[in-house]
Amino acid sequence: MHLGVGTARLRRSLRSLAANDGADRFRLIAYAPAIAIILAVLLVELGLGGLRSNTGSWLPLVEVSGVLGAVLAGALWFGWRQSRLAARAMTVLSDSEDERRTISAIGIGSNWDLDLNRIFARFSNDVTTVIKYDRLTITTARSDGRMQLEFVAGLKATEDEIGGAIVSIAGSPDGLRNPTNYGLHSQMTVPIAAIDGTITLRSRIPGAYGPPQVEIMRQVVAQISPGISNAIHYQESQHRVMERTALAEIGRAATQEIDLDSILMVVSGALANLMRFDHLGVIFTEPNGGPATVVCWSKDGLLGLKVGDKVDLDGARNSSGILSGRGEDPLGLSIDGGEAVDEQRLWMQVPLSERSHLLGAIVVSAPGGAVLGEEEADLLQRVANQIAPAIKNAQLTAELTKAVEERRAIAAIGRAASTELEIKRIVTVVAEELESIMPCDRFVATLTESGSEYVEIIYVTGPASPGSEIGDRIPEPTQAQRQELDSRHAILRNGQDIPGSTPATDHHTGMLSWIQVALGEIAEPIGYLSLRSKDPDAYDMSNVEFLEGIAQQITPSLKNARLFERELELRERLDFQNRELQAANAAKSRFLSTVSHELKTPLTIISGFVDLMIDDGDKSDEQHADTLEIIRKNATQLGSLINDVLDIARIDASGLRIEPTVFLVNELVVDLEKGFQQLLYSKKQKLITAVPDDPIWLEADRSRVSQLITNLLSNAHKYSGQGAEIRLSVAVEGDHIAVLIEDEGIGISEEDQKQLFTAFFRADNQVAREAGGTGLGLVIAKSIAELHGGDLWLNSVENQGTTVGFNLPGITSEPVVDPVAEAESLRLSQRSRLFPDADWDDIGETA
Amino acid sequence: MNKILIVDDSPDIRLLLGRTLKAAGYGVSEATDGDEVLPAALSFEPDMILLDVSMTRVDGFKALAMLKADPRTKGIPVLMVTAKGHPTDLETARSLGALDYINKPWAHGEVELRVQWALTSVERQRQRETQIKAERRAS
Repeated sequence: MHLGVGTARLRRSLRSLAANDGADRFRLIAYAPAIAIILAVLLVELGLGGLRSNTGSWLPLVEVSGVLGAVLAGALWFGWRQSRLAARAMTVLSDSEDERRTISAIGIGSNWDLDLNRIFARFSNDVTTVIKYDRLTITTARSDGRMQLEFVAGLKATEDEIGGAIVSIAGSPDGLRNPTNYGLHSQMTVPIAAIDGTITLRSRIPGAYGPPQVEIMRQVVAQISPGISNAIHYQESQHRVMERTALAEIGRAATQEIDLDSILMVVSGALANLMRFDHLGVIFTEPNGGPATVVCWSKDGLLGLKVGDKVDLDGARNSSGILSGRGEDPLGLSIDGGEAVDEQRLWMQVPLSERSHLLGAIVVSAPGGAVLGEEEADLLQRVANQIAPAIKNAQLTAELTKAVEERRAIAAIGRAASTELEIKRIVTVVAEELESIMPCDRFVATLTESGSEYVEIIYVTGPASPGSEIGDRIPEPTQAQRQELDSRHAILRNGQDIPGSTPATDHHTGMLSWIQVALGEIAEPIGYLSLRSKDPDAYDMSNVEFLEGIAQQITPSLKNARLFERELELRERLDFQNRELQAANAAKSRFLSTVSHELKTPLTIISGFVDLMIDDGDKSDEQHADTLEIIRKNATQLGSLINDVLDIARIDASGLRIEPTVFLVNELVVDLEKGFQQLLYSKKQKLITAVPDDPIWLEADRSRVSQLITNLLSNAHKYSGQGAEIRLSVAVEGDHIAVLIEDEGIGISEEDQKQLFTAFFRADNQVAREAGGTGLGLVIAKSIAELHGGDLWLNSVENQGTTVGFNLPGITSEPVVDPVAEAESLRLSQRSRLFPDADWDDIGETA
Repeated sequence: MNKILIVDDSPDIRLLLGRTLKAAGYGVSEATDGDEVLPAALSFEPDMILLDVSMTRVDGFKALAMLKADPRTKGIPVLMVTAKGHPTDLETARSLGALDYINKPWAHGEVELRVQWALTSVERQRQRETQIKAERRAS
């Protein structure tokens, strides 16, 4: 019966073994000892049965049965226990079954996806079903041997830079510098062979990861690896296609464009898709040696590189290979003027050569995180090889264009030189043409002056510079420069002190280069042409030769034009002098005629009445008195007229003398007021004076100032009607006195005002005619004011009145009385009333 | 007694000439400017006019032209008085019909002599003309 149980179990076990495949192998193993024991017991029992029939005793049989029963029971217990164990093992086995299914699912998604990023994203999501994490990172190896962060899931750190190189830290393959700061305590890293990279998981739970988890990750990675490889292959081929496209594009530009800038723009644009860089430049060696020139640079000043900079390319020339590095570049450009060098910045320099002839270099600069490895070098070299012929071509075209431009300039200058007669027009054409083909921020043309150490600037362009404008005179080149000129026609200075004929002000306008060529014979040039530039290396010998050619071309024309201009100038001067003389002559004739008329009338009256008196000796005293009065009046008039004429003659000959003394203006005004009383009374006119109460001391010629005011008051009296008011006011303004004389007379028309200050002008109207006078008073008054350093002005409205004002400098303080000067002024005041300071010899000499 | 018209804008000159000529026995009248000449000549009917050249309103040449343009006054002999004495002025005066000129300043007795001579020559001219007319009539 227990056998039946055992066999049933066995059958069940075997059945389940068959049904459950390998999973039930555990049950088989568990039941096997039990079955073996049962079989052994049965064999023993059969053997013992044979023995019992021989002895016929039941005791041993009972004993044996008991033993057998016990063994059987033990076997049954063992089997039961084993089956329990097997059942438990089965549960465990079915869990790992689920896990395997999940792992398979992770692999499935990756196999047909071509986008690495998407593969990583799905993976990071799926993997949470088997392993928990707080941060997952994927890194790949780069061509420069460093690791690059490709993907981050979960917690992100500040130092994470997707696509950036990982700053390697021991034990931190994901570049996380301080995991504990983020609360991450566990970490495991599994390699991904397909991308030559790693996956790193981190968890907040301490001890979260052990060998089982590592095992699972390995399986998981194995699952997704084929997909990743596939995607990488796809990306690489795509990159290659882009590379082809870019090179084709560059090739097209190289064949179609002849302009360097355009070619380099296409290169820069096409490369931008293929590699990470932010600045690209091209440096050209000069065809005839010397330093190389930066011709294209995407950011001015980076690494000290600017377009037009001169650099030493010897490094590239010697190695003729690719140079790359970090921080300071081999050209040594970062030393002066450039930005501070970023130690992490990458640079690469690829030679640009055509048929083993070095043209220059392509220089690339990239931020510290970028890659400038072998692949990039290879790509740049291919680009360089492709554009080199085009660049050579463009260089040749540029040279050819320059030559054509130079020919055109020479032709234009030649045309101007042969057709223009004016120096300025020839030089203008020269300046325009030179500016179009040579570096030039300032152009100066000068002409020598015979017998002078100076040259005159006849044409200048560029920034204004006081002291060197057109018409200014600047020193000729020094002896040393002359000696330099003896050997050549030209002086060339680059980035040095600009010498000699260039005023120091050039430095203020920032001119650093200078080239000057003499016009004509070196020993005796007729002038100089000079060009200046802010570029310290603007000029070379080819410029000098060109300028010398131009100088030779224009010199004969300039000489010719100069002669012509001098002749014109001379003729003009003669014409002008002639006209002046004629005008002066006419004026003199008019003056003489007027003067003689004015002089003869009173003379006629005087002599006529004297004759009458002599003839009529018996006439009464009363009649004689009338006649004498007429004679005296006319004699006075004749005297003042002669004084006026003398004054005018002196003014004309600049011989009118001013003898300043210090006097009180207030007193002078009082004196004049008294002197005019009688004259004013004759027309019932009233003089109103306004003078400050404070004493005004003035240092001036008292008699001349008196004459000045007298002339103005007489005019006011003459041209005002009966009973009119005349105002005389004096004011102090700083160190000047200002005097105003206002009348209500007939005024002066605007037309007449224009010629008021010419000698012997007298407004043509009846009152003026009747008033008499010479018309010289105003001219004399103005001259006196001006001789004192003051001025005189007149404002008049016809039929309303005239205001004449003048001011005189010389306000001073009360003088210490000097008896000698006092006596002298007394002597002067006692001079002849008619001719107070007549000096005929004086006039005769100066007039 | 011959009558003389003095034309000058200077009152002193008029006074001087007036007294000189009165003393020589002429009848005198005055005009103060060129524009007064013609009316004065018509009303005063002088035997001779002394005409100043430089006058304010109408100068002597214009006044002379006016006199010579009027048939009633064109026969009156005119002596110009001038301080200018420029040859062209004299030429102008003569071409306009002035008989003679007196330059300022004149010598002692010059005015009387020139006036007398002028009057005499005009008188002679008249006599000769009358004589010629008479002879023509006779023949």
